[in-house]
Order: sequence, then C-alpha cells, then structure tokens
Amino acid sequence: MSRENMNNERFMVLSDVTKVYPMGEAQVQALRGVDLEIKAGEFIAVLGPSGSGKSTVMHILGCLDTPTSGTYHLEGVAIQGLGPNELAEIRNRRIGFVFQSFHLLPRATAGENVELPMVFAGVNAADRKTCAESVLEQVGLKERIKHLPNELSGGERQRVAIARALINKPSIILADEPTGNLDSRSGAEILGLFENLHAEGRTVILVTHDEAIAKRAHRVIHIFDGRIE
Amino acid sequence: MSTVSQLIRQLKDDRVRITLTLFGIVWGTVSITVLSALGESVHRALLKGEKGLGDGLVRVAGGVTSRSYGGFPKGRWIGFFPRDGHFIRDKVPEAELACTEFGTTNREIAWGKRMMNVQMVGVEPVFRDLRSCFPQDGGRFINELDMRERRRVVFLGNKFKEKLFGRTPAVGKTVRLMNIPFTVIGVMRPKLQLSSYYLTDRDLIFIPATTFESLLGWRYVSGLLYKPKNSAAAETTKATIKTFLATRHGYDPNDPRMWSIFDTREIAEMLNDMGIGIRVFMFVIGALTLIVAGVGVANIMFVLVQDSTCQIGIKMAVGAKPVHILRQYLLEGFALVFAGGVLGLLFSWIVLMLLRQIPIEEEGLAYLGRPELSLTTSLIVSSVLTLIALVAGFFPARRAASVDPVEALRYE
Repeated sequence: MSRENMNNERFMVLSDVTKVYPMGEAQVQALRGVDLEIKAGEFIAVLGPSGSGKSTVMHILGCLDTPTSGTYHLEGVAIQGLGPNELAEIRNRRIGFVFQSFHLLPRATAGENVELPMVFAGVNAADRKTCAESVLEQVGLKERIKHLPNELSGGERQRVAIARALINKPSIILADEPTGNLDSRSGAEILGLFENLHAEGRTVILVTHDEAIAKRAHRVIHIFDGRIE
Repeated sequence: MSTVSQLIRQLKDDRVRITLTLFGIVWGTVSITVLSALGESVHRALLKGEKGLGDGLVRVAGGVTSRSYGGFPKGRWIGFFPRDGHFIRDKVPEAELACTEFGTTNREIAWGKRMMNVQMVGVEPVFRDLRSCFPQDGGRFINELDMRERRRVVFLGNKFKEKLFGRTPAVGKTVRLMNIPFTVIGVMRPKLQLSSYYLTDRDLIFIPATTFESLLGWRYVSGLLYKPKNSAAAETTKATIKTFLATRHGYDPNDPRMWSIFDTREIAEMLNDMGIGIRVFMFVIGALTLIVAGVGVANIMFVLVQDSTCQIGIKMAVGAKPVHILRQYLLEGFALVFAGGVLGLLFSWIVLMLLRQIPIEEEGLAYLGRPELSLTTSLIVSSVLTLIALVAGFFPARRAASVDPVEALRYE
C-alpha cells in the first residue's frame, strides 16, 4: 500500500479513546472507549442526543482537546503527544471550525473575523484582506465585509463563520450543530454550502442531533452514552 | 490579536471601567510627577539658598591659642589685621576674592524722625561678589573710591531698608549713623540665604571697611573671607592659608582652636544630603500612589480577561497560540498605562505651571523653589510606569493564555 493510499484510508483514527471531565467533586465520563476511522474526503455526520459525547468527539477530532486515554492519529501523527503550540498550529492550518452559536468576535467586522486565522498564521495585512474578500465572495457576503456581527442575520453570521473556517484552506471542516440556531431556510443554505465543500474534496464532519440533517451526509455515526453504536 | 479599530470598539463598550482605571493611572502619575518635581525644586532651592551666603565661601576668624608655639605659652589671643586680606590676595593665588570684614556691631541709625538699632558691617568692594550682595537697580555697592576716600556711604540690606524707609526709595537719601550723616548708595537685591554666621545679609547694613576703621578705631578684623579658585582643590587651599596665617602671626598651624572657620561647602554638602532625602521621600509617596493605580489596572485586566473568555476560546480554536493571547493582553495593559501616563504627565505639566504662578518671595514658600517637569523626573516616572504596566499586565495575560479552549468556548 502506498503512503498516500494509507493516508487516505487511515486519515483520522481514534482508537479506544476515553475522556473524563472533572465536574466539581464528581467526574463525568464523556467518552467510554471510542474507535473511529475516517477517510480523507468523507462527508460524515455524528448523530446523538445531547450529552451523548458527540461534541467531545468533535473537540478531540479538531485538536481542541486531547483524550484522557487511547490514541488519536491525524494523517499518521499522534495528537495526544503534542503541546498547546503544535495543536494550535494544526487547528490553524488543517482544520476549520463552524459552531452552533457562530462564535464570531463581536467587535470585529465580518472581514476582520474572516482574517483571524491568517493573523495567527503570520500572513501580512494586504494578503489577508485579499483572501478575506475572496472567501466572503465564495459564501456570497462580499458586500457585508465591513459589517459587525450584530448587523448581520443568523444565516449571514454562519456564512461568515464558514468563510473564516475556509480561509487557511484546511482539508477538514468540523461543524458542531451548524444549523441549530438558524431558521429552516438559512439552515438549508448552510447545508448546501457544506455539500459544496465536500464536493471540492474536503473532509466534512457534521455533529448534530437532527436525523434529517444527518441523512444529508454519506456516512452517519451514531453515538450514545459515550460509545459508538 | 486585535486591530486598532477593534480595540477602539472595545474601549467604547467598556468606557466606564476604562475611564476609572485611566483616572487612577493619571492621578498616580500626577502624584509621582508633581511630588518628584517639588522634591527636585526644594533640593535646588536648598543648594541655591546656601549659595546665598556665598558660593564656596570660607570665613576664618582669630582666636585664643591652645598650644604653645615658638617659646610662647598657650592662651594667647591672636587677631587678624586688614592687611592680612591683602596679603592673601597677593600671595595665595588659589584663593579668590580674599578680603576682611569688621563687625557686626550694633549701632544707632536714624532717618528723619525714625530711629532704630542696626547691625553694621565694614566691608571691601569684593564682598559684593563673594557674598552675592548685588544692588537693586538704581544703586551700587561700595567701591574702591569709597575705600580710598573713606567715604560716609552705606549699603542697606533689603529687609532693613523696608524697616527704615518703608516703600520710600532710599538711594540718595541721607541717614544719620552714629549721629554722622551717611549717604545711602544702594539696596541689596533680594536673595535666598539659608545660613549665616550672624544675621542674614538682608538685615544688615554695610559701610566701607576703611570708614569703619577710622570711625571706630578697631585694630583687628572680625573675619577673613575668601573663596577657593578651584573648588576641587578647596582643602589644599585651606591648608595653604592655614600655614600662611600661622607663620605671619606666630602660632602652631595645627592648633585646632586657632581655626574657627566657617566653610559653606560643608554646609552645602549637608543640605545636599537633606535635599536628596526629601526627593527620595517625595518619590516614594508618589510611587505608592502609582502602585495603587497599577493594582487597579491589573484588576480591570482580570475582568477583561474574564469577560472575553469566549473570545479567547474562539481565537484559540482558529489557531492562536498561548503566546498570541499573552501578547495581546500585555499590549492592552500597556496601552492603558501608556495612555494614563501620557495624560498624567500632561496634567502634571499644567499643575506645575500653575504652581510656578504662586509668588514665592515670601518666607517659607521660597524653599519650594520653582518646580519644573525636568527630563530626570519624566524619565524616572516613565520607568516606574513601564514597570507597573508590565507587572499589572503580565498576570492577567498569563491567565488568559492558560485558558482551556474547550472550556472557554462554552463560556458565555
């Protein structure tokens, strides 16, 4: 098997991953031994009720968090051994996040929000601006570049967040309930955008509790009580 | 990392808290700056006041010997003559403006019907430069012609002039001194004088030494004054004159009782130490005020970090490293202190300008001097501000940088 092929097959691999959170005196077992393999270019939905551990799976896949035990390999690299700076670099260059509550900086314009990942990548201001314009155009918001988040509708905010996720051209898009705060029409538009991103060759992972949304994906992973079913 | 426009939007949102913190820094800066400037100016006034008696002036008086010398027993009284001053002037080139003085002696003076007692001194023309007894406009000090002709002229200390003449101009008027008519030739320009060996010069009157000698018949002078030409070699000059006078008058040059000396340099050193003490004291009070303001900055920075936890999480999610977050909050703390410091220095400048408007000719206020915003003060204040900004910004920034991104994203 060639290296490229192996990477393709074993792009993101979780093996026997557990996650324990301290919650005051008690401890919460969020994941109880998860095994998961994702191929490059897949369109996956992680489906489960609230409290099932689906967000934790996303945080670990997105290198925001590390497993309590078990291993996570991203393109063959063991993530659990990395420090905060290396994790930040992976998030910056290889992963784009989209959140339920958009998570835009309230005091930054749409353009400035979109530029943010490039700021941390050390790109100069002029290049950042050009790139921000082009990704905003891609999500159909070029004319909103100077607007603050509170001047945009929910659907527009989420499109700004998607533009931000795309600006460093990551291969993985992770979305946590991206349509949860949107009306059905905007939700449909956003899902359409994710389908486009998948069609462009990116690995898209959608976390949701909505079966109707999960059906749009090519593979659905059911998670319940910290385990994959 | 915030751009300037984002920072401005944030400042607008937090304006009440920011304004209060800024006020604290401005207040602290004004305190430390004004207090330091006052300390500096008091220090300067102390040194200037010492120079009011004469810059580097040395006064030697005769006395009773305490050692036998050259066959003479101890206990002899030795006095100096007017010519000793001339000898020193001729033979000891290291000494400058050497001269002798008679007095003081208490005499009666009258102008019109007003009569009072005054302390009188007989002096030579160089006394003017030696003791900074400069005349006010329209008058002059005693000159060589007065000396040669033993003229009956008198130069008045400015305070005594007020006592005798009030606001009436005195120059040209005739007063009766010891019932002898004397012409007033000048009034002393006011000066700050901190020390004296009898009265301060503004309370005295001065007549030519030759006139004094001929009217009162004193054989011995009361003191011999000089100033070392090179203040670095003051001690050598002193030793030279010591030997010179001992040889002329036949006593042991190392006789401790024969050297009743008044050296303004020694007093100047003491006053200098005092001035430094005052400055340190003022600085410490000001610095304490500024430190309180620094605690305020640290406090508001902690609140800002707390409030923007979610934003820190967002930044980390899109790839901010801890150092990016640390740098951002350090810079924000710095900007806050910097703005407060600049405003504070500006206000201090205004406060000091207003302080300088206060007339300081009056007694106690004279020691306040004229406070200015000097380069030294500005530099010291800036360094203290920088230090406070670093310390006040560092701990909140470190907390921000150590936030767990998952926790932070959940924080609303």
